[in-house]
Amino acid sequence: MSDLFSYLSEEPAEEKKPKAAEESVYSVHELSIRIKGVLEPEFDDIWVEGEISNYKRHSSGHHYFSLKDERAVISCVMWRSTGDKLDFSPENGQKIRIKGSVSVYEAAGRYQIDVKRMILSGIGYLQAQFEALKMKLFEEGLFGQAHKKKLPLLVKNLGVVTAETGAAFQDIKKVIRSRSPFMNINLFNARVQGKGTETEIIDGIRYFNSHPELADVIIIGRGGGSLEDLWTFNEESVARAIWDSALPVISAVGHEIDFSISDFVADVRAATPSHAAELVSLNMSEELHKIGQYESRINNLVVSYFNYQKEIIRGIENSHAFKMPADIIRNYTVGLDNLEDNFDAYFLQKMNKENMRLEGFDGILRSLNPESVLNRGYAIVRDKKTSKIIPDVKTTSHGQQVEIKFRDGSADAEID
Amino acid sequence: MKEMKYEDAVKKLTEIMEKLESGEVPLDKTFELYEEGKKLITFCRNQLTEAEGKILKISKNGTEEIK
Repeated sequence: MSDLFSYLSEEPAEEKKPKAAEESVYSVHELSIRIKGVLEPEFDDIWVEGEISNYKRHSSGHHYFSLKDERAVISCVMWRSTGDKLDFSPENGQKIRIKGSVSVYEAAGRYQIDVKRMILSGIGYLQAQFEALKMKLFEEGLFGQAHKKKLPLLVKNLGVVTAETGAAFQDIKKVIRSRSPFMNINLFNARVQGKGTETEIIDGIRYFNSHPELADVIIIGRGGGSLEDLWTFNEESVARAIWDSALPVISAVGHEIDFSISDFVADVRAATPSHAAELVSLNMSEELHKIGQYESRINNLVVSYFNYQKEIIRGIENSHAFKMPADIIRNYTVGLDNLEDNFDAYFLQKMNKENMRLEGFDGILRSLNPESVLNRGYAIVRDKKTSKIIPDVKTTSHGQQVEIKFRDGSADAEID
Repeated sequence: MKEMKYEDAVKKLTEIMEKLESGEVPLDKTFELYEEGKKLITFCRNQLTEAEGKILKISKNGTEEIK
């Protein structure tokens, strides 16, 4: 029978467990105290980062929650006195950093962190920073509309502070080239993401301010990204550099939905880099068209003014008041025709050649003036009631009251 | 004329047109305005067309023209 159990004796002797009595034995309490003695001094006043879960605020006012990451969880307690000083309300899912000490609670066999400080980290931290800085600068008046500089209508030199290789610069270039091909684009090549890059943006703004011949206006910006990616443009030092700029600054950071501190301080906020480029560039072909319209309007105005003057002179020429020998009238008519010819020729030349000068033009103008006709011994006849010039006999009527204007005054008369 | 700003030229042009339209300008002044208007128009056109823009890159290594 013993053979039936012989396999039991085949167990290797060295694997047999030692007897408890041969080693020192802790009581549960002793071990707990030992653990406490190792852990507490080792993890005193340390920072831990994680996500809040199981958050509870007890009726006593103390806060209980767990701090977790993907692979572990640790219990935390924050006493009421600490919790009351928080500048945000803790919620499950928030990424936070806490400062505290590990404490072992031997009666329950648990350890936890006594939290002495808690701040938001990650996105939450950045958002809190953003809001705090926004409020601070707003209160200082850096966002005031009264301080915003106007953009020039025609920008000939554009300063751009961004990365040469980024999408933002390519977009800006494309828009400017198609709308305002005459514009010089001056790129201050700056990194736009990562710690320390704010100094490159600031250098760019300052560079253009000390070289104003290179920039009528400055665009700073970059393409889209996360809040962390865009963070350079939320730095206070960048905001201050924009504020100090004597040249107008356009902030074009990320997409339409992204707002940055630089957007608020800048003279103009553009939704995107392409939008910024549109704001500084006028559409050349539209603008040339507009100028062409101005030109024809001015031409038309002056031509019709000229025609009106001719009408007046014709009125004098044909006036019933002329009781002149026929040859004087003929001479005068010839003179007027010459003047008209000169005048028309003048306009033809003017409209064909921009910079043509006309010698003695003033003299022609003066002789066309009806007042100078009076000086030469002619008179103007007007209807007494309507003051309208009477240009010919057929517009007169028997007994009509008229006023004759001479060089030195007027006399009334009646048509016979 | 070289130092004038584009928007100032456009503003002056508009003013000249308004004056001419009012019909209250004496004849000699009319042609004075006309001459000035023509100069402004030439100035504006030149501002838009006389040059082809360049691209400069400014970096720590200096300044260079790029495409």
